[in-house]
Amino acid sequence: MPKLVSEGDALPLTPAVFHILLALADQERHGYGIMQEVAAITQDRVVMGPGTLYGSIKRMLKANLIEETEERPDPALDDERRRYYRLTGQGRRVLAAEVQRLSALVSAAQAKHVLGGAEAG
Amino acid sequence: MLRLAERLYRILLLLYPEAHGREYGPSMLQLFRDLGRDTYRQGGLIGLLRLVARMLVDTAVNAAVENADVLVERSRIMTSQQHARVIVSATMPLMLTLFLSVMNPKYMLLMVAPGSAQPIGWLMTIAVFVLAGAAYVVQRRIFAQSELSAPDPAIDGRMPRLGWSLKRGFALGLSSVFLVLPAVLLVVLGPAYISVRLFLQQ
Repeated sequence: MPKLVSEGDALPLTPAVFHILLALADQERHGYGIMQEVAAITQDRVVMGPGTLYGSIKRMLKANLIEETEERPDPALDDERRRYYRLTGQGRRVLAAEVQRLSALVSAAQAKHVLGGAEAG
Repeated sequence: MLRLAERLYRILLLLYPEAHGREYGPSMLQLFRDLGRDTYRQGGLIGLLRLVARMLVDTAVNAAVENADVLVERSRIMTSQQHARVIVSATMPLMLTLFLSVMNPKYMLLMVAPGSAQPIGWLMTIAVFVLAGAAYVVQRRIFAQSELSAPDPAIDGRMPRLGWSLKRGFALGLSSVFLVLPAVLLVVLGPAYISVRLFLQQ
């Protein structure tokens, strides 16, 4: 039985959960697809191992942030043993709330000229 | 080389709790296979060795987290008698150390010195390891009777080459590292520190 949490309770997200939600924002993916997308989004700075990935997936399924899907983007080309995941409505709301939180932090940093200071230093 | 790495990863998967391995083991193995293939293509043998090293760390951290989760989850449904049995079995190495130290402090030093060629040092060290392993088995038998007698989960849907009992025994041996490690820290490193200090004071 998935545990329902409010968006506020779920924040801030751990980096692994945030990256997985972001990777699934545009389409459903299997484990390796998620890993590749996270690596692409972060310019290879974040490469999750199978343990981290599936540990996070397990907790996200329990928190109803993602769900497993039977649909395949292209069943003819794909291995049917692969398990695909997609965002739930709750997952999408939590992701949006986290992006908003991070955006507010970036705005605060910009107001303090953090980036300008770093470039000047 | 890829097959060897995959076999090693299969063994590492045994460190995860049984239920986690059943649910996610095949997917994790598939992911490792994909990752290994691509890494080997791009980075050759060195790349693959780096990947295996990363997987060792990934497994050590995440298997510990998953095992801790299972223990916490199980502790919620334990009766007080089961709590007592786990505490007694898990603290056996510590109790042995304390008992021997109270009897005679020199036994603590003997335990850390199997290299001193004293039979009692070897015996005590072996006893601690056996007790730690026994503690793990007791814990398993209390909570996972059905898991122990369950049929082979056959990771990845194929029957393993090793026999089920051998594989199970190997998994138990590897998993008991989680219990042996604190025992080693308590029983070996602590007294070793004391002996070094005593040696320096002479």
